[in-house]
Amino acid sequence: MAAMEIEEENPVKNISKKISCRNQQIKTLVSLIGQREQVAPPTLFLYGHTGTGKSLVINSLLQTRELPHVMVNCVECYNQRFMYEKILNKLQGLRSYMNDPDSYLKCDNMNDFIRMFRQVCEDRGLTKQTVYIVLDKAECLRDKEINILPAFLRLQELTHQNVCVVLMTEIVWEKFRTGTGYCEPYILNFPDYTKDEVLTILTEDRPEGCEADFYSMYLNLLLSVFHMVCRDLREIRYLASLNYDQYCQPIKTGDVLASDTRKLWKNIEPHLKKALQTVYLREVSSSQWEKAQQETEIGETPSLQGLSSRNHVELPYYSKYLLIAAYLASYNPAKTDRRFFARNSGKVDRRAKLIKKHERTSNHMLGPKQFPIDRLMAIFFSIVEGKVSPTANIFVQISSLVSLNMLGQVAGDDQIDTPKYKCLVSLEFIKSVSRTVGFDVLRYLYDFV
Amino acid sequence: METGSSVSKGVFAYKGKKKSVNPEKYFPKSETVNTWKRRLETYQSLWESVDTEIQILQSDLNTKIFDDLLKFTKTCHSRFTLSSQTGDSRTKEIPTAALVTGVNTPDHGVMFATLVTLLQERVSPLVAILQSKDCNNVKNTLSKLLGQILKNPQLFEDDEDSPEVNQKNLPISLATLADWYDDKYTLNHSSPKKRKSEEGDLVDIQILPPVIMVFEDLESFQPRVLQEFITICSNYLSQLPIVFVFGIATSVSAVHRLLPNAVSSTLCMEKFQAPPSTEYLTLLINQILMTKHCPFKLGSRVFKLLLDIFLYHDFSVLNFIKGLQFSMMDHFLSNPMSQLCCPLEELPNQTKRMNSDELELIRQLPSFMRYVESCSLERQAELLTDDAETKIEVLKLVTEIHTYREEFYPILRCLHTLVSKLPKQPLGKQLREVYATVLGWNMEENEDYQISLDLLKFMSKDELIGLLRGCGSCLGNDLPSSLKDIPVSINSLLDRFDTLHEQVEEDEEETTDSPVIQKTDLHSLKKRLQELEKKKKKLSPYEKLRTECVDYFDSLFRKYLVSPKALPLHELLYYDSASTVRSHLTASPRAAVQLALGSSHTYLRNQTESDNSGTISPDIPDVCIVYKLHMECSQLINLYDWLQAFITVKTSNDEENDDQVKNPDQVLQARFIRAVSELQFLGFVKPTKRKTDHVARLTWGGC
Repeated sequence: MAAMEIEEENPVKNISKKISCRNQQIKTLVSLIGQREQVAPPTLFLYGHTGTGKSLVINSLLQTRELPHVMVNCVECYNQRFMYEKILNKLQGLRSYMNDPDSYLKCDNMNDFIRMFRQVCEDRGLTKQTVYIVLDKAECLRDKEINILPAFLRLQELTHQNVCVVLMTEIVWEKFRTGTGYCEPYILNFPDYTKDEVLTILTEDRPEGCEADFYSMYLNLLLSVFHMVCRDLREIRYLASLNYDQYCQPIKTGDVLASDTRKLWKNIEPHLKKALQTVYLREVSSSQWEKAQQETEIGETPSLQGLSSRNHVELPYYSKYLLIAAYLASYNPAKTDRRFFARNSGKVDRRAKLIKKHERTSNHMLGPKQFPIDRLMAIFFSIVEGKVSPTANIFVQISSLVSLNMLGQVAGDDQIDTPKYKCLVSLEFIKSVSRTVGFDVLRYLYDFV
Repeated sequence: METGSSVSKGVFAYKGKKKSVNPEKYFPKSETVNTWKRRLETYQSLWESVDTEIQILQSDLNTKIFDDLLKFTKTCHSRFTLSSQTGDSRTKEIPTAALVTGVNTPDHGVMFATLVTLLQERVSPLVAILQSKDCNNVKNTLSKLLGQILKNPQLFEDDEDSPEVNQKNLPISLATLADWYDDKYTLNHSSPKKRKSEEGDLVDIQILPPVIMVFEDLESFQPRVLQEFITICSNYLSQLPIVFVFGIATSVSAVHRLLPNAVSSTLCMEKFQAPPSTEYLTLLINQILMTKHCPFKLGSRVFKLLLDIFLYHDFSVLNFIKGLQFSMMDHFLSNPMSQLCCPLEELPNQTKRMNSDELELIRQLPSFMRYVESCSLERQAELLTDDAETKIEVLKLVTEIHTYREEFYPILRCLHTLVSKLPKQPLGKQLREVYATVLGWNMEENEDYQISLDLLKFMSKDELIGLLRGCGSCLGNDLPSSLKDIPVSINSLLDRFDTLHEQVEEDEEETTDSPVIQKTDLHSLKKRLQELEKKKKKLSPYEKLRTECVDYFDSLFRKYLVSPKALPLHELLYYDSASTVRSHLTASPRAAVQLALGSSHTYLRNQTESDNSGTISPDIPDVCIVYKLHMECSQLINLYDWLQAFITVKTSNDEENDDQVKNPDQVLQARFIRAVSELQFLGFVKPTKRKTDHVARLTWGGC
């Protein structure tokens, strides 16, 4: 009895040592898994946001105790056959198709899968032990054939085997209940790490030769800036590694002592504030980031285009006008075209104008509306400078704007049934484009008149 | 033929024999001289040399960005080993090179092809290039990827005994690739063959080749496919050293529009900005069009047209080069004497081979006729009758054009340096703009040139000295002998500017008798100021020197920057038929349709119809009649009225048309309906529900 307890205690401790701040979950899982031969619950449902240690905990549990298991990422399985074959072949220990194409199992429906699964378990002598099937990103299963999810939930019942299906996902169980025949799984939540927990975890992966106190001081400063906008452990980890060298810079040069936190803060604060603008973007690698930081120190203008000119796009002359025309067509009501583009525009009654101003909601709030190509061309010809003949080159530019994702084609795949488009660029972008051609776009926008 | 006469009656295409092209057939038959062979040869050798120059230029241009990119792909996985799968629990990121290419999509194909070959040669044989059109779902993307990497022939070069992978039966997933990679590279290192070859550098063995995936047009990928694909790749990062190269046409923010944070956080991007295509074009024009090497040159109108297409439409250098090639081809095709457009060394040979017919053609050239008229009477007779004399003269004149060019380009650069920084840039900012102006100008009448000279006369001393220095440096070292003294005179001008301040002080003392200011009324003050103004007309020494300097340059430009149009025999070396180029390069479908319908005789080559304006002839095709009638209508057209009008036109030549109109012929009615539906197909009318028996017009105009 005592020996058993030690065996049971040890893994919890071992794993808890490696994975901090998930004690509660590890304990629950270990007690659910129990001994090798014990029958586990048919399904476990682990949910929690990304970067809360779900995969890490379950992986290390299964690996350290060497339990028979199969890991499958559901994103990868574009059809059910692929998933079944993957589970079966991994279970029978086939390392790759090329090594042994003859014993590669083929299976393309649930029925076969259950039959072959029992077969494989018998062959491998796994009838007694619990076999674990871990399905990562389980939310994808909802979009697959309707029988897959219920069948996996009842796999133990269907196969008469000691099998446990572990579903891992970022969304709650309630969102899975769309069909019938569901067997309730055991639900385990992985809550987000608190600020202190994040601190503990990040302190663990400090660079070598760095004191824990010093590093946690740095992380404290970092979190004080970023914790407001970003709780994702991965992102914070990335930011921590990105900015650490900068933080240590004055110590290396000998200007500041490692204990002088105030001065270090003064040094790092502007950099962190700047990094705040590009959080989540990952547009620069750490080496490029450093280069840019050094340049700003020297006093040069930051040449890092990833930060300064993110949205700058150079377009041919007529493409710019086409884009402006598309924007106008998307955000102006069609009935106002006459007023903006006809030569002697009808004067709007002043009273009607006043009433309208109160009633109408901003078109910019409603988003772009679709427009036929004829309207686009009409607006284009009326705003473009000089005489332009409608050559094929102009029409080619429309499709190249579509391929650049600046226009979106809504309907009509060919020229005969007039295609319809939407303009997908922002007001800021169109303003900067129209500035380059000297066109006052606001004067033509219904919302701003 | 049995397949052709099957149940369904369709059009069946048979792959015929490939016809060998006979170049002779392409040359116009109406020519009186038989020079096509020489022209063809000259064209081929010329284009070949231009083409190689362009190739060299392009590879040079992208060298820097490609070098950086190759270095990035090489180093980003330098610590990757297959054995270290355990341990490192931290999630890794996929190294990603975001290659911002610019919006000139037609050029990208060439660029990525070069990039892929470079990557395969220098970094890793495992390169796959993915295009959005092949990747509409995850499965297709994966199969495309596996197909390219597993079938890569380079892999099987060194060890042929490795089993050929039969791709058909493989499960299409990255796991397959990972297994294959594992097999391949662990096997390779244990095989004795491999070890022998790489024993020298043991370090190299450690570095495994990364798997590089190039996304050529990232913006066009479906976001869902891309997201899933990247997620899958990031799961295999511990087994496969994956590197992404994103080809982005707009800006890096496109990545964030496509990918949510959960996906983009698995990437570690580094941005590489390809040089903009305008830079490439400038280089191309400066190094290929504006050198003395190539005898063929674009005239001002064609040059401007090609530039316009580039700047206004597509930013595509590839299309510009195509335009250049087209102009060259058309030049040699349409100009029967274009064999003289050859390098200077071959010129004597080519002139020697001319016969009297060919010389007659030369004599008919307008520029040559103008030249002859300017000669003395005796000489005129000689040139028009004596073939040998004409040959010598032609040789002389063409050689003169060549030497003219040698002097032209350095001086042009000089002009560009002087005018490019003027306020408002009357002659243009870029060298190409100045060049386009100079190609076609008439210097005396060009206002912009006069304005530029006037502006130069207002320059401050420092600015002017800077410009002069710029001129001196842009002239370079390899000047033709006739221009050797220009740098010298520029330097002497500079010296005089430097020593100017000594003189200035002397002069200033003379003019110090400034009038004592007295109390005066407004009128007399004005008068005095006007007088002072007149006095000031006396120039300071600096101003004198400045005028002298500008005049010096003016004389230079007048001497050397003559428009090539003024030279005799310029037709042989300059191609300037812009209308041909325009009609071939800028297609305008709507104008063509309207021309065909409105004046069908231009296409049918039937001259008789062209003159009767106002009335519609019954002899033209039905659809043209219907079109012309519909032009007179307003937005909605009554079909019955239209039919009546059609029948009236059709029967206008007959005698008793009253009867016809009342009881319309069934054949005519059917023809009318067919014509209307043709018009509908062409997009001029469409059926409408607003009024019965009416169709709506889709074009503007009319009443």
